[in-house]
Amino acid sequence: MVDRLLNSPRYGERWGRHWLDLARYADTHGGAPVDVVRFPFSYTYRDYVIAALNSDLPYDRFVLEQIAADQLGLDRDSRPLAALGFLTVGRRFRNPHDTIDDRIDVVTRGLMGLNVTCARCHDHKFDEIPTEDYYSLYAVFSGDSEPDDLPLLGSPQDTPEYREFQRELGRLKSVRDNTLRDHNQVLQNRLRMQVGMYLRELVKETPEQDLSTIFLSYRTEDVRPAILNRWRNYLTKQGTKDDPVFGLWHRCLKLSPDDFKTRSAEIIAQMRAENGEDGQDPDKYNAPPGTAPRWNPRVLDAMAARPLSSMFDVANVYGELFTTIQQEWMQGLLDMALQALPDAPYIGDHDPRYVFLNSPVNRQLRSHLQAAGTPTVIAYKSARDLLNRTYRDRVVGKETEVHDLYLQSEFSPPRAMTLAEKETTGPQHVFLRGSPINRGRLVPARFLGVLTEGERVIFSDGHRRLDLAQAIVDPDNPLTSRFLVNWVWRHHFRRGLVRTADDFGTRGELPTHPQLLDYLATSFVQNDWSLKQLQRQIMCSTVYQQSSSHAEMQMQIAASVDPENRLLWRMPPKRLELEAMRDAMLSVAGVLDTSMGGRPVNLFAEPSVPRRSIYGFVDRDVIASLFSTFDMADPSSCTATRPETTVPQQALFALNSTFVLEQADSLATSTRGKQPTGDSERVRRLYHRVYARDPDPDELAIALQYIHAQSADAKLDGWTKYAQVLLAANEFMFID
Amino acid sequence: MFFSETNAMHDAIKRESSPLVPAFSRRDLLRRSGTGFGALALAGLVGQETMAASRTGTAVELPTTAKAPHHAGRAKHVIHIYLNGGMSQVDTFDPKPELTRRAGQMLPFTNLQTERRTGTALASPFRFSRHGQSGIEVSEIFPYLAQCVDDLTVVRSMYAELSNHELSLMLMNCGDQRLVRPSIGSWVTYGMGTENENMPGFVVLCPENLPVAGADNWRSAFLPGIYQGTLVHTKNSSPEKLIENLRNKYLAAAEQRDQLDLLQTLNRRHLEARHNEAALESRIHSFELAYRMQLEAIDAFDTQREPEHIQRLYGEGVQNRQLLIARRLVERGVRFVQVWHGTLQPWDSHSDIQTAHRTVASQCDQGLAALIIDLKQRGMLDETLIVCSGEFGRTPTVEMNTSGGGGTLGRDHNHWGFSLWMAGGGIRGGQVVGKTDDIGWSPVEDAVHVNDFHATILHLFGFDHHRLVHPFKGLDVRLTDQGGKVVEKLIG
Repeated sequence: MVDRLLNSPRYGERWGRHWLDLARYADTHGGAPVDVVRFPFSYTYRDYVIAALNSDLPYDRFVLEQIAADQLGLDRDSRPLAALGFLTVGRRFRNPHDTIDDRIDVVTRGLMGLNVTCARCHDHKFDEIPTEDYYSLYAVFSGDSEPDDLPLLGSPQDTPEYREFQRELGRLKSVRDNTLRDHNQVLQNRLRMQVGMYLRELVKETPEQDLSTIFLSYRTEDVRPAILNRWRNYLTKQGTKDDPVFGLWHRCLKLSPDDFKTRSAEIIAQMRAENGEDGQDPDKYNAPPGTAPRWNPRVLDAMAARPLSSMFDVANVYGELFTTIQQEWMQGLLDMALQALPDAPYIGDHDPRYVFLNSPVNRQLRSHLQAAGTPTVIAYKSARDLLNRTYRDRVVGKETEVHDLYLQSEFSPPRAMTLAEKETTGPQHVFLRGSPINRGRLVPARFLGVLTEGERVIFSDGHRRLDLAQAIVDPDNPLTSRFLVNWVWRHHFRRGLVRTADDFGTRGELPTHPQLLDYLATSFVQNDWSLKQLQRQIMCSTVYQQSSSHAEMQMQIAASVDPENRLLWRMPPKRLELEAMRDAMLSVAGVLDTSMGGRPVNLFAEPSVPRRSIYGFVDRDVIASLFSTFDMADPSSCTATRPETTVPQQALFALNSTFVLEQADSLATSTRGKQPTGDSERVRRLYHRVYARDPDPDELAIALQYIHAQSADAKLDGWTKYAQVLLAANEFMFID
Repeated sequence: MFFSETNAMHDAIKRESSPLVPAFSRRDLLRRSGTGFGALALAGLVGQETMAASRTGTAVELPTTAKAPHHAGRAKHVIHIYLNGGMSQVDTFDPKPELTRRAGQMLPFTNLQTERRTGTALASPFRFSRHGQSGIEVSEIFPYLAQCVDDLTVVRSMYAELSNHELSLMLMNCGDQRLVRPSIGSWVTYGMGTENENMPGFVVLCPENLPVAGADNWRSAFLPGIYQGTLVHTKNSSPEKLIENLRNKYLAAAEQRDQLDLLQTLNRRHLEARHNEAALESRIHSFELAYRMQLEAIDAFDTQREPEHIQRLYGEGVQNRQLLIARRLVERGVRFVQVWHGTLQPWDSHSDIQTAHRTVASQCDQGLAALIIDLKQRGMLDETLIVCSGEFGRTPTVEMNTSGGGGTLGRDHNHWGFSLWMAGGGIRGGQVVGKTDDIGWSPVEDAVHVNDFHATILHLFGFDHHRLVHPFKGLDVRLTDQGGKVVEKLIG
């Protein structure tokens, strides 16, 4: 019987749901306030989990695929790519730090029972996890990005409908990309007019801002913190010290306010001297290519034309100059374009205006606005987050259309929610007290010190996740196998051998049976990480096969010695959790649809969709009241143990919900039988269906008495009401 | 009488619950107490530990049991009325003559940064006058509420962190604008437990749809789901449609009782064969509670059952009606009631604040006053904390039209400084706390951060905000993890 159950496809659905609790699975992004978005392909991860458990994929491989399927060198079969949903179906945050934190949490707490994320701000108070180790794990995920086009899982059939879907997808994407590109132009050109504003902020020594909370205004004149950071980096780190344009900025920075005016004039004179000019040459801006002077003469002239009494003045002059440069360029572009019109006056290629625009002096200036890597050249997607709120809402609208097609088109094939890791990410700064603008020392990507013996290996670039995954499933890492064994045990016995199933640290409880835990963990690894073998071992044991109830006397004695049943002197009674309860009701009512996989279904539709609950849509934005009433795992954080509450709202569901009434009705109808049978026989059938046993004589009498007392004109058939009672009863809800 | 009986019960439980002597079963307790579920729940509050040590060793999971308070608190319930979108402080509780004097002029400094561009000083279009013995100034848009001013503490020096609605709502409700944290309603219910298991402990009232940020405003996050707010749409005045599964579509009460009796007969037989297992008992008990909840919850939402003069006191309209529902809920032991003015953000008066604010204020003014008067006459005001706030305030300067035109005679969001008021629940009435600058941008005295406000509310309930914690990811997480200190001046 154990083998039959383990080999049933229902096994993956049942244990898959437990796994999804750990994986904090949901079908929506979360963070409803700004972008309400569903994941179009989260279901492919759920289906991956079910298939992996059903095929008894060795657990170490299961972990490797979920953390690093993209780095395993999969050749033909791309299906395991869907495993990366483990990292990507988490709640979406509007900054990278919280997203990475969520991923660190799910791989440490969800796979090893280790709380690492509290080391984000300070060394772990209780366990040996220093902040450095947190940021070593941070470095593992910081180079990840999600590809624009998620990879297909398998190849879809080339049907006319699929081709039509692709056409429509292409169209909507180009609408989206055109909007992004157009507005990126608008944003870049505005930012090039605002150089002075950013330089003034630097002079004011405006501290670096944490970008974790995006503040998006409607106003053009607000400083964009991300752009200010880019200017700050550009001017402090990127070797602009000897730049012909910004050299003067750096020289003036050190001046004291007392004699700023005279000293800055001296610097200008000095620079002119280094150029070998006196400021009087009328043609100096038009120097032919390759003959530009050492320091940009336009900068020197602009500075010399104004009294400079502080760095603010210097910032203003730079700002005005760049505004002029930008306008000259835009005007030049327009003039050159207009020439293409049929009636336009002829202007030759050697027209002085073009010579001027393209002189090295002007190019030097312009390159600070337009060359790759400069602060006002930004990725075309950035406009979405930087332009303004009105525009952002519009782009989100276009993105939503693409999304909706993926989500809703019947012909949209399944895709994997993958990640891609940059080849070079570099080491990671520790963020002191968790603040991204308060940088401490640099740490490399590597595994936790507490779990490594000897020298720690630095993870290789481009394969950091794979290296991490391998460290997690390394047989020398004692936590992974113990955590998993405990987690399996917990689902068989209601409590784990370590009762704090998600905390194996010093704050967690000690195991009740440490040797048993170690024995099972060791043999689990020896048995090629086979989950089913582990469960076979557990379920064939005497302790698993005992009942929850013993004779009165024994119970009293045992309870006085071990009231919490820590020593497992009996099987703890278990209540069906939400999904098991719902599925069991559908099953005994004879209506359960056992088809597997696919997009999520609405569990709250009326009449009900008789699919297994694991296929239900999980919204982490608005938690369905059925879910919160029945202790469903919080879909925003990794859950090893659901809370177990008993509240009247659960009873209201059993008494009044359309779902339960529907199942009671099906149950009553389907036990009526083709030929009229006696009422006793029908009660017997019901007992067999619902409790897999015969009613005892008292139970039969109680049933018949109830049925016969019903009046004929009641709105609900007496048998339906009786069937509902059987479904609502404790005998149905608890497993002894 | 009520108390002595309960204490006696408590003693009895203590005496009888050694491991080998059966403790009271819930059923016994119910039978013996005779007073029904109020007494049982209270016994639950005090006697939980001992009752849980049933001889089978499985603890009865009663999530709605109170934590032990850290000191004696006066507040037992909260009604938080949300003027969602943001109430303008300079048009309601924080008069600024200087703003009027400078009307139409640019201010002599750069306007603080808010979400949109703002321009010249915009005088309040409303008249202010002093009321009550305290002489607190209230604008003309709250004529009813002004009569109750001696019961209010007006805080003029609130401040938040950002001028976006979503993030400020998260701060105001969950104490953190970024991380997923439980709402204050969940924390209070978690700490205080429930007085009446026939009712949800945390109820959210909104006429229809959802406010901005939706259910995140009343989420329980990592606390058990039972502490999540139960949303009830109040536009529909038929009480039966308000809570899910509250009524059986087919069965009359007697018929359902009959069915329930059958269920409990089977359950008791099952229980007896299993040595009165606590978990089984607890579920049996929950069916009795559910049966009563059907009647009591429907009753709680049915304002038609109020006497004529009470209905008249609150006045017409959904805003006033939902304030009356809020009173009926706390009267029945609901711990925390959030009352939202409406869908998205009705108080978000970016343009024509004169009409917009006058309209929304007139919708709830009478009910707000009625709520205070009504709770007071029932002797419930002292234990019921009323809070009335937005997620932030509004700029003293006029908002410039986003599309480039001139002013709109409305105000942008102002998180730098705003007003809210509280009444009852152990706060000191008839006072103003804090002060903003001459034009009403931001606090200059006794600044109160939203986290301070949270710390103070927990204090009023008898909880040290440092110590009301729940373990999450290996840490003891609390509502005020981002900061917060109790504002002593607020406390009576």
